[in-house]
Amino acid sequence: MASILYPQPQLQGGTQTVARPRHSTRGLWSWLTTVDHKRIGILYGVSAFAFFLLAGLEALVIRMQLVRPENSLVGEQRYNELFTMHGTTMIFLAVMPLGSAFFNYIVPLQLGARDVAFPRLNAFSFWTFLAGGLILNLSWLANAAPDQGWYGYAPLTSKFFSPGDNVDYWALGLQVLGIASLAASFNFIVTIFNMRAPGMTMMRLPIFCWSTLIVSVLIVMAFPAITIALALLSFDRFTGTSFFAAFNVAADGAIVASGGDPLLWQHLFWVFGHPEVYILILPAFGIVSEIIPVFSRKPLFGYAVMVYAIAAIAFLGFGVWVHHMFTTGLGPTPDAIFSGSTMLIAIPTGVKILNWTATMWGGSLKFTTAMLFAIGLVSQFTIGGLSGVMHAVVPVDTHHQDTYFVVAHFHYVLFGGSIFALFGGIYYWWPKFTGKLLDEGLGKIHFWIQFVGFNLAFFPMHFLGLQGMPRRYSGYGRESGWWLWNAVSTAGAFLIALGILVFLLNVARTFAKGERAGDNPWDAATPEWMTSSPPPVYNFRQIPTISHRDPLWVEKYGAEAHGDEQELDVTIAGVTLAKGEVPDEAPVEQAETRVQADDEFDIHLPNPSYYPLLASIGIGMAALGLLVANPALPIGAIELPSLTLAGLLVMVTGIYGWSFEPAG
Amino acid sequence: MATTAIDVRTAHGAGGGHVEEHGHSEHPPTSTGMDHRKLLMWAFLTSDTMFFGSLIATYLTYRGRAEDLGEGPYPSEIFDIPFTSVSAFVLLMSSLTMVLALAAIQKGNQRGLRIWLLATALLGSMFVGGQYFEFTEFVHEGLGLTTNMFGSSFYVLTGFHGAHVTIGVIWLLTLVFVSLRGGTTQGDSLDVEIAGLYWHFVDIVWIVIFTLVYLIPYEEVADVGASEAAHLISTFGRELSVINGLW
Amino acid sequence: MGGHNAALHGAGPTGPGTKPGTDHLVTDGHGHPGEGVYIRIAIILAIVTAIEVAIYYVDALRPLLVPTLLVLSIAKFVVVVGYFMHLKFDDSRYRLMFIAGLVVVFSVIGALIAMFWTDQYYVPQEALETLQQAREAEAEAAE
Ligand code: HEM
Ligand SMILES: [Cu+2]
Repeated sequence: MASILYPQPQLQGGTQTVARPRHSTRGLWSWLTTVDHKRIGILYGVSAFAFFLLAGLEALVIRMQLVRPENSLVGEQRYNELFTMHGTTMIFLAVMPLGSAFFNYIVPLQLGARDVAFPRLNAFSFWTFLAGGLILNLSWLANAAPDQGWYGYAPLTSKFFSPGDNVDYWALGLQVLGIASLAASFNFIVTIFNMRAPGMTMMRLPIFCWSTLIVSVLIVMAFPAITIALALLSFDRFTGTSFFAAFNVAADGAIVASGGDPLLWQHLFWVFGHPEVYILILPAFGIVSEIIPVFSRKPLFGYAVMVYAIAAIAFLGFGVWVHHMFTTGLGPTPDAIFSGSTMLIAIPTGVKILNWTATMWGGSLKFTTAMLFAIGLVSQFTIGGLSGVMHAVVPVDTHHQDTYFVVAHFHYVLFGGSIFALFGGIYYWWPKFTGKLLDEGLGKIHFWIQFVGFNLAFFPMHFLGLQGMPRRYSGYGRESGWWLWNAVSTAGAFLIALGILVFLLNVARTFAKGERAGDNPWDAATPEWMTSSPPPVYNFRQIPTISHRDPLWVEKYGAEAHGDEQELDVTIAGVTLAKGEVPDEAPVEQAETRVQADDEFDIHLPNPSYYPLLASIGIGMAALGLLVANPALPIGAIELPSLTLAGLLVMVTGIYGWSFEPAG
Repeated sequence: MATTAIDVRTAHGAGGGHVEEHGHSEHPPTSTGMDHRKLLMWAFLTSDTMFFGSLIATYLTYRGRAEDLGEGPYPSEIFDIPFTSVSAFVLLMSSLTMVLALAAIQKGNQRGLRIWLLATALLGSMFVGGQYFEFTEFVHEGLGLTTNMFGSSFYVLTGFHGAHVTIGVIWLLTLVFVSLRGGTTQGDSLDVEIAGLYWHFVDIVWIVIFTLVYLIPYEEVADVGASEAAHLISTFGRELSVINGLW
Repeated sequence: MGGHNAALHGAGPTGPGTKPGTDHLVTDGHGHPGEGVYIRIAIILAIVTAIEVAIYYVDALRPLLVPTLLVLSIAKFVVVVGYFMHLKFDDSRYRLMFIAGLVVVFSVIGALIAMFWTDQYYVPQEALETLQQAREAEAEAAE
């Protein structure tokens, strides 16, 4: 019966040189070679969650150390390592890839597509991410964990002040992670532009896809800055240049001015770093924008405004980096300009808060766990946003800088914002992933414990900061008067941990005896619910045709229920990105080209491939070669470690194999 | 064909392992009409502007620092403008041969494609060779990677560019190889076009570097030692620091 | 050469606007200039490069040198992107994307450099000396 429908690619003589593994759905091998976006999403989710737990444990140790004055649970060096790895892991190995997990799993489904535009590139992104994460954490085993802070300020990172390998693990690990993020972002940009189902205009795109798109654009434009910064740092450390240090040690041991400037690091880092904080929060905004309408039983209020707000945040996000450098003495003009732009960026952020509130207004609210977490974001992020605007004011920030007030700010936006929303997303889409519902009772217990714990842990940090407690110190004196709030904060941290345990319990319970969810348990509106839960490998038997922003609601309740959908043209600088008006029915021609998969039809899916994994292994080896002792091989004037060379060779083999294996 | 296809090839038609249907110039349809791989390449190039932008920012930040500190060799004494002009010219002309290769395959002219691709790769290799020669010369004259800020920022900026050119040459040679083995048809012209986009981009980066690094003159060496407190900004700095007046 | 190219640029066999896609905006592959144009462009580029190098050696032009060089190299940049990379003829969305990126990069990098150039460069002599002393003290203590 199964006839192959797509004309099998006629392979050109010269290019059919390598074989491609066959489909299999079980076993380790099938996971290692998978190119299925859903499986890659699961891989991202599981590994990111593991890193999240690890970073959480690190945080608990930090909080134990600070529970009372003059504590000596961990030494200063270990403390530095802990807060550095906590921050780096949470940002690059937990929050970003948890976002990626949703991008991977959900976006193609929301687009009505069968996969992403470049499935193998997608697998490559994941394996490279994993390689970067492992390199970073291998430093623990080498007893050389990075100890300079997640922002890696120069000149502390110089060989002079940090002679060990610690900084190198960090720089190379992040470099590898950067490759992964860039590859994934190119992929999602193309996927979202190019693989929308018939009828899905840009202004019918589910809002989560919009936030994925904008995050990808941010990554693509911001990561090169840190790529260069890290490359220059590595040059400083491996070859003795002084891009980020004002001095060099001459051969005779004398310290001489080099002309380098530590401030350049801060510029390059924050040119990346501020867009990065939006990279961390926009996926969360996207998730919340999906959850709130569903449980308010109302379409999202002001969809178009929401889209423009995300875009505005992204664009303005490139013009505010100096607000991290107000105390470096750049002078009144830069301070004034960047203070202004920072306040400006709070406006589109406020618009989003308003839209979520207005979506809930007058809706018939259903307080499911997912909804609770979404509301958690709206309330907690707002607190973080407000303290953000406070340190947009230069004289105020002069007091805040490097105190716990800033720590409070970024935990309200990152934990209260991103982490809450990500948990919301997990509860909301769990049935999509597994076909089973997480237990709502345990879920609510989880939420409330985490909510109380979070506020207990981080609200007191505002007080501590204003009382002058500095960040990054491994202890404080008895006379400081900071004991009480620190103890409260530590208690809060353990409460959060308890909340996470409840979540894990919930997951375990659901696997054991979870309730079957059905295809659309929340009566949601967006296209990912148009297929079964969990979806078949090919996602949709028939590619849906989209005629509304909330297709399932329109189908079920009629167009009136949908509210006032306004079709808008998206026009920037005279170039129309997306047309508003759309044919009422799919043109006949397209109905023919996108044929339904009946029993007698086969859906042709991309075959698995091991080359992405091979290329990632190569990259990992290349980075590792620079870190671990191995004999160096000279190439011309340059000496490279043999492991690095071998890694590059493996990588090139992977890329060529990938290019020449049959596309099928 | 009895039926039409489920077009999942769209989902993976590219990603590198792109094997087009022979002789058909039909691409899997996309929502925007823009080809997956071409869109990917433009996105990559846009991102690469930030990559080189950061490197150029670093170079310009430190432009004149060696002079300020009185630590030679300085660019003004070491640059060989005639030589580099020839290099720049060579790279510029490789853009012409590249675009001729594309024009050839768009007309189905395989021989033309191979000749022009080889010419492009040759010109590219000449450029890289010239850079190798230049670097060796400079090192002979005492400018190492760590000699001064000029050396560091110069070698790293132009070195990253040279690496881009080298990758481009390898890519072009791969295309020649593919064309020899299996024949490249009109339908594959996108393969060539995308490689071309990359190649031209590398060329425009050099246009910028050539002006900012080589041609814009450097301040004469300040006659001050490292102990001197305040310093001069290089000519370029002064020209552009009109903004200073506003500040 | 225009017509038959459309397909090669992703516009598909039926040409712009009739694709299963939804935007109906395809302007891809509106035909490219022919070899003659490419060669002329290359000649112009070569001449501009020659001018750049020539004026570098003319002392009388020194005061105007920097602005002239900047203008000329921008012109070269635009011509290569417009003609060789076909951006002038291609889908306008490629153009939008690339130009938007350039605007971001140019503003960010411009601001960054401007902030450095407003500061004069100081050698942190005192700090270096302190460091040196600390180092020596450390070395002594070690002995
Ligand atoms: C309303 C919008 C926001 C404003 C106005 C704002 C403003 C600021 C300012 C001025 C600082 C520098 C404080 C200092 O070091 O003295 C800062 C730090 C920080 N912000 Fe925000 N912020 C906003 C939103 C966010 C979001 C959404 C995130 C992440 C999800 C975020 C994450 C951070 C982080 C991680 C830091 C600390 C960086 C460090 O020094 O390690 N912020 N914010
Ligand atoms: Cu910021």
